Amino acid sequence: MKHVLLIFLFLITSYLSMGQNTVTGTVTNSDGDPIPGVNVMIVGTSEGAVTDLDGNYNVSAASDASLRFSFIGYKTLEFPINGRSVVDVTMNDDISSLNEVVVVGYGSQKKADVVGSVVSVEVDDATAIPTTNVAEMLRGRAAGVQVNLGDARPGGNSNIVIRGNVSVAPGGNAPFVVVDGVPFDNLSDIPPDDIASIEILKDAASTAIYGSRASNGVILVTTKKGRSGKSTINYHGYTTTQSVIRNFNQYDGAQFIDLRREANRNRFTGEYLNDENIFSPFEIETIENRQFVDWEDLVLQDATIHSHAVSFSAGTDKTKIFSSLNYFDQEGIIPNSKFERGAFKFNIEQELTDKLILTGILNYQISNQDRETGGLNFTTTSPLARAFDYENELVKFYLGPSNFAVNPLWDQRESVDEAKVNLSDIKLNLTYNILPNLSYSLNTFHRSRNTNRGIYRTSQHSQGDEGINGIGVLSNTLFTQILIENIINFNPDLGEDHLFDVTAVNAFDQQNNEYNQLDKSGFTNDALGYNGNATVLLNNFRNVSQRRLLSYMARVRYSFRDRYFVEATARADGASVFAENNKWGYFPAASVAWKLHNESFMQGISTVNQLKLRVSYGATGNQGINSLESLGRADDLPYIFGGQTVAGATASSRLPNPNLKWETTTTLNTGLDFTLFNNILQGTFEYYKANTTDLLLDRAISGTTGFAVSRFNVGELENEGIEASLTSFLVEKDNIGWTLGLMFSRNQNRVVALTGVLDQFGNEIDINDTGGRRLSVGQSINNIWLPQYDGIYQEGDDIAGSGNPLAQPGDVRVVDQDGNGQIDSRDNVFTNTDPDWYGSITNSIRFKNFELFADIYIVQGATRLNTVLADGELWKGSINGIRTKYYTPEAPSTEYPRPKPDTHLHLFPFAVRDASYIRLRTLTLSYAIPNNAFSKIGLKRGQVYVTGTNLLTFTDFKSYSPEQNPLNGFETAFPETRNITVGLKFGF
Amino acid sequence: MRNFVKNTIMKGHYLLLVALVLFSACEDEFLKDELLSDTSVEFLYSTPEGLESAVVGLYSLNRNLYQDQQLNGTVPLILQAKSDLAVGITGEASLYSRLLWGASLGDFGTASGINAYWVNYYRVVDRCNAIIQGAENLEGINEDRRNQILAEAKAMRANSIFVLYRLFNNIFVNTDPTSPENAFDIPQDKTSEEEIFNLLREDLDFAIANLDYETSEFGRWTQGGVRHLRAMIALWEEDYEEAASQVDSLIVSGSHSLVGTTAEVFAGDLNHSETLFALNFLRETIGGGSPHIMSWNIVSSYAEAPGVLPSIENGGSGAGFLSLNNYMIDLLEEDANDSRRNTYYIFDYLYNDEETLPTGKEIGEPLDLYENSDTDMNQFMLYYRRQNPGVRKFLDETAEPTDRNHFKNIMIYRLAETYLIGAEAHMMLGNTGTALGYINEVRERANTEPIDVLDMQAILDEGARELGFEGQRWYTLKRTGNLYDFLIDHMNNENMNQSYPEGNPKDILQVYMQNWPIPEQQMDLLGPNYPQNEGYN
Repeated sequence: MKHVLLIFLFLITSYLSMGQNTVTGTVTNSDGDPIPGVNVMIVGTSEGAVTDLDGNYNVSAASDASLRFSFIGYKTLEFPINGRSVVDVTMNDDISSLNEVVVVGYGSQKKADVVGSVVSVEVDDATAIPTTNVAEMLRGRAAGVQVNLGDARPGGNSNIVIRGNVSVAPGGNAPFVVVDGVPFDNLSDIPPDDIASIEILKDAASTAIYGSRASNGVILVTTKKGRSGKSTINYHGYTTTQSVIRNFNQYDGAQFIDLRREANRNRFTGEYLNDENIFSPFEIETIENRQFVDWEDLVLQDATIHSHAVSFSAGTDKTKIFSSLNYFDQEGIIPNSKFERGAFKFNIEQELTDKLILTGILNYQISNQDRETGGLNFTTTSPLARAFDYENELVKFYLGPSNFAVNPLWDQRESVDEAKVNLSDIKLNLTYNILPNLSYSLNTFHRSRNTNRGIYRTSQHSQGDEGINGIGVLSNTLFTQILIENIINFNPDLGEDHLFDVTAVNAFDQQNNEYNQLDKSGFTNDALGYNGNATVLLNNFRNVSQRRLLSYMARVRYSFRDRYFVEATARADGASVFAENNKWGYFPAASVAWKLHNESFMQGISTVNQLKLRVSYGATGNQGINSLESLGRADDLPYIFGGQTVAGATASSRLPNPNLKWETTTTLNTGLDFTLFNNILQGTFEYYKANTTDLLLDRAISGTTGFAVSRFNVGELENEGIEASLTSFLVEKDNIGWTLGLMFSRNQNRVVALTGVLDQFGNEIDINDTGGRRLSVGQSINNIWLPQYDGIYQEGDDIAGSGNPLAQPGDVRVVDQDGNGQIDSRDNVFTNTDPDWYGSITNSIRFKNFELFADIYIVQGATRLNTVLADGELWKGSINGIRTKYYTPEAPSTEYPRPKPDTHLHLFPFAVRDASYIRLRTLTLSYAIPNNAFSKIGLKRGQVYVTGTNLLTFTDFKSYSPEQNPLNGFETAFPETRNITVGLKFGF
Repeated sequence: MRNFVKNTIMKGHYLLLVALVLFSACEDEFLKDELLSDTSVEFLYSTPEGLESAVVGLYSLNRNLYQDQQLNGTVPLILQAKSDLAVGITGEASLYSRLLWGASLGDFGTASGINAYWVNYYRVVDRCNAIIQGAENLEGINEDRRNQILAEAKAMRANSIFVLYRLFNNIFVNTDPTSPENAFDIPQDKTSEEEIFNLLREDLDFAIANLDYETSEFGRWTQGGVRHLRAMIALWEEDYEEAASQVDSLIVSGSHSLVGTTAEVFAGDLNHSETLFALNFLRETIGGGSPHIMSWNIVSSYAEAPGVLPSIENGGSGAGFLSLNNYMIDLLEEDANDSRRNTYYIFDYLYNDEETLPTGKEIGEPLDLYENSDTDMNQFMLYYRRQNPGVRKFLDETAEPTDRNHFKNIMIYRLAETYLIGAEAHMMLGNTGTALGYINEVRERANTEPIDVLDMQAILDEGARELGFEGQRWYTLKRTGNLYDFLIDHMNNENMNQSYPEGNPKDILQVYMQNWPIPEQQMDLLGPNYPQNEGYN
């Protein structure tokens, strides 16, 4: 309506005569309230005015001139005067608002005043994918935030790495997650529909306030809260169909037979062996009957997701309430896999007195995760099999009566594996505003998560049959967390030019884990599953651990005339997991920022709306190790003497380190935030360098000591990178809009120093850590250390003079680096597995009530070892897998080796493959139902949408996901899916 | 709800108060890391109960290698695969027998299976060191109790060091338990043979003096087992007097005797008079260990043949990765009455399936469809896979015939070997009569004719027949300097040697391979000065 009025006014005034005259008007916001302090400039001059408290202005300008209205937090507007004397203007909120408030550690801040490296995630874009895996929602949403697929199963998680691996400790690279001010151990415990905002803190200046847990960055999530005003009810529901995606073919029956025959061909005479020699009688029968099994087809099914979220919000001046109910139900594409979650949230803010405010958050969740039986493999299982008999009943021994491998479908049918989780959180916060500029806040939080898991393998299951009469595994994990924080905030009034505030925190955090497990067998029958009575106790475990953290923290922020900003933070943390004399760590940080656009010399430069330069430097820590690593722990090793169990124990193969201490990461960060060309282009460039010292290195120890590994503080690791994010509002009109977003991140990880022990050539010796990584000075910690693949030996090659003189044409060739005629670890080279860069391109196009959102995710230069290609059994034709055009004497391949009856040498180097990819992750088309369509039935908002997830992927890496191998150990890794979602949102 | 909120606030305050008190009063206590559900190492090595439980732990550690299921359970069979009595047919075991694995630095078999020996036995040695030091320093413990702990730990230490020495030659022996302070000390050189053998002798002499022949807990070291080991070490040092004297003492003690027939030797749980040391397993029992799949590796895949179903009588579940070669078969067929042919080994897999019985065959007749042709690969591959003789020594008679997971106790040392050691020692000392007496005890029990002329070849042949595939053959050949020659003459079988895709293993075999390569990942950790065994570079 306002717009129509504006255009109307504009049209009328345009008929008035030209010339120098006085122009007046009022500037209001979209609610009709006047905006004071708006800059009104005559375009092309340095003259202008500022609106008064009532939003009025008065300028003298040529009648053919144009006026530009600009104010932080609103979109800059430009209007030609066209001879008018009154130009009233309505300014709209800038969606990329700088006035926006962002959450930072222990408080919030105007986005424009942020001194550290803080990114706000577009929650609506992020939550467009149908999952409970919140980490996946952050993929491609913020520069420097890398997400790696963990487990694609329903209810699975992914791993987030912010600005590279700064630690070598096992749990050392997960960012610290804080939800509504309290630490969360699992990001996916937040129902996506409850999320109001997500901020990611990347540099030491912003994270040092979290001290010892902050070296991997911090993710701050704020959930929705009630607002004063009218009550609202919102609903969001969707349903999704999931189907498998993969980019490789398996061998079908006939191709598999050829592969097996080729593998068993005599290498010297070229003769094929008789089928009787290489196939079992049963396989010969399947060949004769041409009955082959397509396991993937048999096992996988399309599956659905349903999600419903209802929320209610209401508020008065004194009381604000928000409550939500979420239900999520996902079937997996593997039968028996499922995730179901119901979540309830209640959020209240109550002003008790003028000075006391109580905030309470209550979360209660029940979830249920079902898993398929372990060892399900439909990727490499032989197609020469029989899954069903002639009566269409499952066959147990699917490879024939003399082979006792059990039909994967059989074990599926005969197994139950369910985990039930009860989660309850209570957070209470009492804030006492002692003086207008002094407040004290007591923050308390209690979390309890009880995970009950029951596994039952029936008396027909391959693990529970043959006299075992069923196996049951019952386990229970109780996780509890208590957090108490005392927070004091002081912001004295030092006059208009100075802004000053101090925050001090004392915090105590305790986490306890109690784990019980009972393994039972000898069930009287299968009817009750794991709840039944068992006669044999096979094993029992009890594991109890605790970690405590005690902290003191202070932060000072100061700014002068909205131009110069200084911030300093210091935190002291004491953690129980470290050795007796090294409990405490100290983490200081400081940062400065300069808002250039507020300087007088910048006033005339109209292309620059905002320009801010930031520099920060500080230290953060890491305590990502397990408790007890500084203590000597014994493993239980009972033995049997003459049929009787006798208790036994031995020192665990992990040697304790009584001097274990903090890992410290020191980060330098520089950033430039800018908004240009009338707010059309905004973005951030950042450069950082993070050096981690006293690495919590898990180092392999010489076998002669009798120990395998010990953790100790040594060495230095460096991560250096650049990040760019750009958002461009290319078209921004009433009926049409186009926003383009680009995100680019590049991180280089490099070991700077290790133990300092030198080899005979004076180089620092490499270290093998327990994760199988080899750490070497100058190399990334994520690497593959193998000989370099050099193609396939061909007929006529100088085999005798190569690194493998025994090789035959068709074998894998690797580079003999030292030319000594044999291949061993001295020929190994390092290959960095981390991507060279990754990024995303998002397009959001709006036309009338339609909106199209497309999100492209790019990972370049990543490398991964494909474990299926590396499996010697595949090239023997004894298992199925990734189909290739393998070498034969008749058609010699230069890409793939020749099948042979023994395991090929150097298949690992051969299987090192480029894992770069480009993926169209999300494509959403939504339609906002016009308001007038609902007015009669009281609906306020309505939207329908269709979303496609993982629609297109371009990669050379053969798997179900470019981020994962097809197999996880011996079982198929749960495949990623392509999803089609239809959803509906409406509100009263 | 309101009360609940109130209570929680109250609780919060209470915790806060408690926390504040703790902060100021005893921060150290508050941040203390504690073992809440684990046994502490300190308890283990500084109390009598702890030490006794640590001794039990040694037996369990010592067993680990045998239940290692990596590489299709080949690890405990590497010595058998590398002996002159086996033919490698397929699978990982055959990769060791044809020297593609475990015979060079860079191969995967060295990095995995060979490394497993290094790591496992060194681990046992270190835990023995910790127990021995702990027991020696412990005050106020009953002397008998202390000596029992020390004797078992020393027996175990000597056994482990002896294994390491015989396999890896260049070994580093240290009797100080590893601590965080010394774990990264890099040995500058291998330990001299003199030092190694001094320690072995001291440890075993102590154990002999302090252990009884009898134990109520079958599976523990006893004086008999230790004397046997002491005699083996004496032979290695060519101290025939000592070897003969240990054997004589053991035999006259009367505590051990050969069981009546060869059928009884590997029957049941091995808890009989002939066993000197064995590893114990028990299905579905805490402490019973996890299964080994040794039997599956060395029994043929007979059930693939028509007319034969898996049965315990036929040897249970079999894959036939490793088998008896022609040399071994000939040795067993030397005397037609030799009972070992059908008690220790399986020469006849019997038809037992009416449904698939080939025409002209009868139930109960031995499978005889295949022939070990010299040249026709189609013929001999089927023969090896389905019909070649297997070994019954690791067969769990209580297992389901289709289940490869066996919980059979594993024989390590037994009196029949003691007799052969005695025969060799007395022969070297010129006591031919005693020597012949000892070897003929073994021969007569096996229903073979006594011999009246004795030489080294006869002792080696008898050892092959009696102890084949028990893991001692490779050591015996190495000790007597015969390893290379016997392997060149007998390893695998000619038809297999000529059809392995990578070529004939006899072309790969070198004299230096009598010492195993020290795996590269271990060499890396031993520092630049540590000597690798000759030949591997």
